[in-house]
Amino acid sequence: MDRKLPWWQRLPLTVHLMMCTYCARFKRQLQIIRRASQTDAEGLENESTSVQMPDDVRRKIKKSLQDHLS
Amino acid sequence: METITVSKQDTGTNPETWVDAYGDYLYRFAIARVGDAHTAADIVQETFLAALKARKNFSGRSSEKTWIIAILKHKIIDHYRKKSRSQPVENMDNFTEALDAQFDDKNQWKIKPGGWDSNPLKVYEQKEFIDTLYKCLADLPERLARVFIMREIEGLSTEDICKAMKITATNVWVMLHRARSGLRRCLESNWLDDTSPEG
Repeated sequence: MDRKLPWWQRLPLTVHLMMCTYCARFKRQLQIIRRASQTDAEGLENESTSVQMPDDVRRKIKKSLQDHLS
Repeated sequence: METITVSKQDTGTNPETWVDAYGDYLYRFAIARVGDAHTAADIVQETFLAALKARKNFSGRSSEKTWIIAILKHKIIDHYRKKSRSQPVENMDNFTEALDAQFDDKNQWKIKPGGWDSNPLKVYEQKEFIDTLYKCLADLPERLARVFIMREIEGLSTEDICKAMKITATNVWVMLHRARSGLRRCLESNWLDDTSPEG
């Protein structure tokens, strides 16, 4: 997941994953966790796209940014 | 945040435009994670201020929006960490022992992973799954969580993580493995009790 293994390490790992059901399952689950970590709001189900930041919050945050910029 | 360092090809837009450009999107994401509007607003404000502080480090490797969302995710995990009633597992030895307990003396699975990966729905897009993931991240030992966030949320390379954490590549890989295994175990026990067909 983080680096490409040389073939002599990759081959036995691939064979092991073919034989070990739970290891293959473990690997798939880690990939799911990776996908979930990278998911942004647009990809989410059940999240309303109509929610907007209230104007008073928007004004407050803008003011706070301006204060820090000046 | 300070760990996000990038090239110089895109220095981003003026911070004064951030709120209009990304505010609604971040607010929606935060409210879906933390549940209440007031906390979400505070977290979004903290996110923009953190981005302002760290903007010199923004290099354009990712888009500005992706960069700011990564900061927001940090802030949400910090929020969960503060709120968590259970103490984070700071003792790395205990944490590692718990992970090792998944295997017996012959390195065979003693506690087998449940079958939730075969769920036909895209679990990684389900709100409850992602909420649980964030809570589990907040309960990881902090250094493991930091390495995981840098790798999977910020998308940093092993080399960048080594520099930021001042550790070796082997250490990074070991820590990532522990973080992922810990998250998997936490998700399985906190989210999946009734979804696993094989237990």
